[in-house]
Amino acid sequence: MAGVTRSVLIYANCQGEELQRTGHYMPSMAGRVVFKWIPLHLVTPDDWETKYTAEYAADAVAVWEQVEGGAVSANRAAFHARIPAGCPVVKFPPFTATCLWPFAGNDPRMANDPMRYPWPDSIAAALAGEDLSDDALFDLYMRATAERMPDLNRRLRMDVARWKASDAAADVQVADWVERTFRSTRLFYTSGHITAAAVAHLMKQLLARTAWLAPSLARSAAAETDVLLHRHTGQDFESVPIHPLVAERLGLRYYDPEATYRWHGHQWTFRQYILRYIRWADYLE
Amino acid sequence: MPPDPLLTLIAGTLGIQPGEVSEASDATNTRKWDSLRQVMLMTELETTYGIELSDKELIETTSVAKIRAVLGLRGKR
Repeated sequence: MAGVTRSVLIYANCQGEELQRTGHYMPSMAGRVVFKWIPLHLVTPDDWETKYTAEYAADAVAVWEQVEGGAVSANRAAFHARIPAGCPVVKFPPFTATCLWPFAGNDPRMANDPMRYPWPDSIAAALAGEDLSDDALFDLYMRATAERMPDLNRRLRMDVARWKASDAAADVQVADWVERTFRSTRLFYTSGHITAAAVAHLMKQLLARTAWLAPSLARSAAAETDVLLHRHTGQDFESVPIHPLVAERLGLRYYDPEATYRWHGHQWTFRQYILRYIRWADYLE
Repeated sequence: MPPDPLLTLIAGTLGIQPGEVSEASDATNTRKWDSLRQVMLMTELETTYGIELSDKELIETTSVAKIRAVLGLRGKR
């Protein structure tokens, strides 16, 4: 926005893009601050010299930084070097879930064609060579997954432990809320893409902890979040269907076995998605 | 020489070319080996090798060398 010389600088994976877009459309922020997003999973060394320079970050009045496990990466170090002196930083955790897709794993087809179906299913991949009818192939997949279904309570415990570990490194916490909410409200489209409900939860907490915003302004912005996200679906361009047995065992109350899921320009049921995935079918025809 | 099955499994789980994974690979020097893929990789190891990793191992086994050590402890090579 022309004339605005203050920014909230977001350093995050694609969940940051949702925050940036939501902030961009908030009436109470218009003319006061712009929201900028640096995608931590896409940024290259060259980008720090050409796009995300010190000048790019110089107008930041607040930083929203998504935390990661492990050592500080070169990209994160470059980002830290660009934060203006004294600019307050609010750290927040990533939303992730692996228990909802317990067969995510090895699919060698992804090496040469990583974008066709980027969310792997190792059991489906193992059936890729089967020359069967749709019904027979789907039955085979359902039998194989039922036989090899892991202990989902353990997988959930693993997720919760990761959520809590991320929370401990952040100023904003999500673990308890996700654990309390994920059975009644859909929060994830994939293991790393979130629905509007999760975006809203995160956005409100970040606004409340951003010192540059007067409390009354933060409250206005929080209220606008609900309005803006009321009809927004979140990051649903790739929505990986949940296995009905997973839904049953985890007690997902929102689950509809007949539901269709968006996959770019398509709406597929779980069965339709799995058959296409097994056959690595083109869908851009 | 046939491709190493462990390196192939790691590449297939991370969604990268097998040639991008070597004995020196770890989460800090390998494309796509982030915390999310780390979980997928560990659960894939459990499924493929029929083992169960401890919570500590799930978090800390972040290199090819450490994976080989963990599998070796369980008699899986």
